Amino acid sequence: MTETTIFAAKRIITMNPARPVATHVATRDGRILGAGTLDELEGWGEYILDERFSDKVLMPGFVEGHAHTMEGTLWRKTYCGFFDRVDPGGRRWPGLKSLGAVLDRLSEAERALTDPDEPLGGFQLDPIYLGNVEVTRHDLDRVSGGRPVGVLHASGHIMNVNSRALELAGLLRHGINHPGIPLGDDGLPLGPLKGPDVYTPVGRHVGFDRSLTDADEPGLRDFARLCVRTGTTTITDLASRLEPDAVDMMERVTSEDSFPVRVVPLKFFMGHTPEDLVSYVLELRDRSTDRLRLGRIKIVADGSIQGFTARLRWPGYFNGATNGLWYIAPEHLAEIYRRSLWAGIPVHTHTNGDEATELVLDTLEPLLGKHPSPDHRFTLQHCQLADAAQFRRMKKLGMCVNLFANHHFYWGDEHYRLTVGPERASRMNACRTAMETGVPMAIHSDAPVTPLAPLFTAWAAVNRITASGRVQGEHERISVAAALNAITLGAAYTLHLDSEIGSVETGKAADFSVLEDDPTAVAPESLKDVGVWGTVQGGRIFEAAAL
Amino acid sequence: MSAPVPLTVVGGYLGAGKTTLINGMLRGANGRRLAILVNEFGALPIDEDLIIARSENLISIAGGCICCTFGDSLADALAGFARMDAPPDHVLVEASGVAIPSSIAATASLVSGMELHGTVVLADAQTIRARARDRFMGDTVRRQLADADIVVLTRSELVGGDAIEAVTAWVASETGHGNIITSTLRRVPADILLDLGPTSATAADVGHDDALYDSVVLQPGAPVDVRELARRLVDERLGIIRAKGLIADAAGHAAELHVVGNRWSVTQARVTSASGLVCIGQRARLCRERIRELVLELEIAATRLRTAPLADTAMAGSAKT
Repeated sequence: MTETTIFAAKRIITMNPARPVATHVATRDGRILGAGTLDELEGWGEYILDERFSDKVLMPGFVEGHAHTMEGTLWRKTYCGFFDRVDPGGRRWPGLKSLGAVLDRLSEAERALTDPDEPLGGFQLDPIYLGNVEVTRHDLDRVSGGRPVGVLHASGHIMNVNSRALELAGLLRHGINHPGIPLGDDGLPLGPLKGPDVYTPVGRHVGFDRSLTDADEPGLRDFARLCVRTGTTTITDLASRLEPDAVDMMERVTSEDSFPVRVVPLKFFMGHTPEDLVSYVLELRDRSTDRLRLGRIKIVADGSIQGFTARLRWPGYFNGATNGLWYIAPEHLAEIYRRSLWAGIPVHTHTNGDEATELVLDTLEPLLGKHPSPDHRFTLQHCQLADAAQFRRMKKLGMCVNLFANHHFYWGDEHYRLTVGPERASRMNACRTAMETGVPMAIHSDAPVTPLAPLFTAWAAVNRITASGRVQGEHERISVAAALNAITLGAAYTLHLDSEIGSVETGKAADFSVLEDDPTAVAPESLKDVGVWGTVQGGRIFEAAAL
Repeated sequence: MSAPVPLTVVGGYLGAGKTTLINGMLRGANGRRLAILVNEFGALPIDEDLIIARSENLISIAGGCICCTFGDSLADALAGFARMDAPPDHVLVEASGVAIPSSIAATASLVSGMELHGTVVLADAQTIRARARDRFMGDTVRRQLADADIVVLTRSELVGGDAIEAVTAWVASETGHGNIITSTLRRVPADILLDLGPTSATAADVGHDDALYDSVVLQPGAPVDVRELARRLVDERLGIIRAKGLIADAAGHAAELHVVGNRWSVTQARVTSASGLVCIGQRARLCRERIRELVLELEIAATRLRTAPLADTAMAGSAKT
């Protein structure tokens, strides 16, 4: 049964240069027949005219090229962030501007718990915005002395816990000697646990279990609701363990008629030999469905810049911190690349520091000589510090880049002042350089590190405004049109999905973002404020307010 | 509470010989039940003939040894060992090729029921200096060496006599101490790196088939200040790489003493009888006489002073700190 539906809209921004704007789009079987005027589209035969979007603006469904579905799981904890944020149910949680406000919100959540032993968890704490206050166990003991309490930082690298949590983990004792565990005057741990290796064993007692990086079933469903609220119709899960049970769950959930988003999980490289990794990902690739796209690998080469664990080239960190950490050896990296090129498996590599980017370029170049692979689209993820010469090498090697545009707003001032200093802070996430060099480019949120919201990410790339209101790196700002391209076709290209999604164009999926305003008509400073009504995914309509 | 399980961190860059060393230790386990923890199986293949059974994340090895992956939580895996009905006799944590051993050791030190017995870092005698100059990995390799209580220079047979001296001197300048032993591809001195076992304090039991090493066994005739002894055994001039003792302390209780490179620890012994002290070092450097003199000196001092008994809490230290 093939029914044609023609959607009428106030305006359709197609991202197809042959027909950049339209008033109508005809769909059949979840795909696009064409965009144009109603007259033009009537030629497809009998149709149903759907006018519910006649006062809305349609764009291709947004594609988020670097996020983690764990954001959905985190929302079952208490939001402790500095900025306002919307939860999967659509509730806006006001940002908390002081430690007192954080403790008040946690206390309120605590009062709602009935089981006295149930742990209380919070997330997205960012003490940088609270005057770098050290949140101690004594602070969190005011929330609850009896039940374990733990709050994860926005960076994901630090957790603060209360005395009960330390006690349950056997750490409320003298004699602890660990650089990640500051001690109080009494010689006992003060509460902050710095680094996943330190907080993971304690996290278990405060409701953050080991598989934090993988969404569970309710988390995946909640994450999908966030996608609808932000106009996102294709989303990556950028470091998934993809254990067999998780794949079964994702397959089942994403195939439900009501599931509103296409999920692209990348298999995290750790825990396997390169040989096993590639053969497992090949197996997974064959299990792909329309809404679950498997068959890609994610590698992490270094750490984070604000955590001083990214690998920087000379002259290193602005504040003199020791260079960061490698999470993979060059030989190991080369072996995964070699086998993946051979098997046709795309590899996305996290590099924050420019030395990590350099290692990737140096590793891939000779391998491409041996295994020419003209359309490999290996992608550098974050790639925050790359300079112009590195972008030229990416171009030469056929690499793509997915830049962390949101970082300017959330941590740009820190980068300027502390981590890399004024000059390099101004070139971070060099969107314009990428474009002018011809490196295919996407931009991302890394949700939950920063909120999922492609229009906000586009705004960040267009304006490069930091949290304190400074424009940082004017030269690297891009146009609204370029930023909208980056959150649609640009991101689709990095996933080899640009023939299916990313523009409103004959043959592609009927995936639309349904917007309240025209993002090309509002002031560039207001791009982030354009309202999202919901999405159409594969021809199915999802209204955010009705979720 | 049962006695803590000794734990050794084994670090070093890819290709340094960690696999060979660990397989050598499993072959030479002599009834000791070793538990090997690795990041991932792929990085550390256990020789097939040693494997009895495999499951998803555990390999059972002949002689009651096991090998497990620790994935993303070393502390959880170690806590699992500590809770076992029959905990292993010794745990070896194999750090990945790019890991910083001190951070692994720090994490391991948080687990109650485990006691750090030092960090051993392997370095390929042929390639270590080039690795340390590598533009990407050089500083990581040097941080690994700086974390070592003992460095094992592997594949020494591929490097000439003068060259091995030069590389040893260079490693000593990186580590800040001379606890460096050499090994060949086929012969890794596993027994020097492992716990010597409570009943091993007789010359016959600590035999090692390598002419490079020598040991001295001492039976103090009177109780001594064991902490003071441990503190002084890490003196580089004595040439001790590894020492273990079950010795009567000043109050007459048995205390267990360990020296690994320049790290020492003293705890209350699991057994009540003191069986003596054994010290191992490279034949050319072990000062048997000075060690004997040291023990004698402390015996006399203890007899005179009758120092306080060993407290419940363990004491440990390092010559670096």
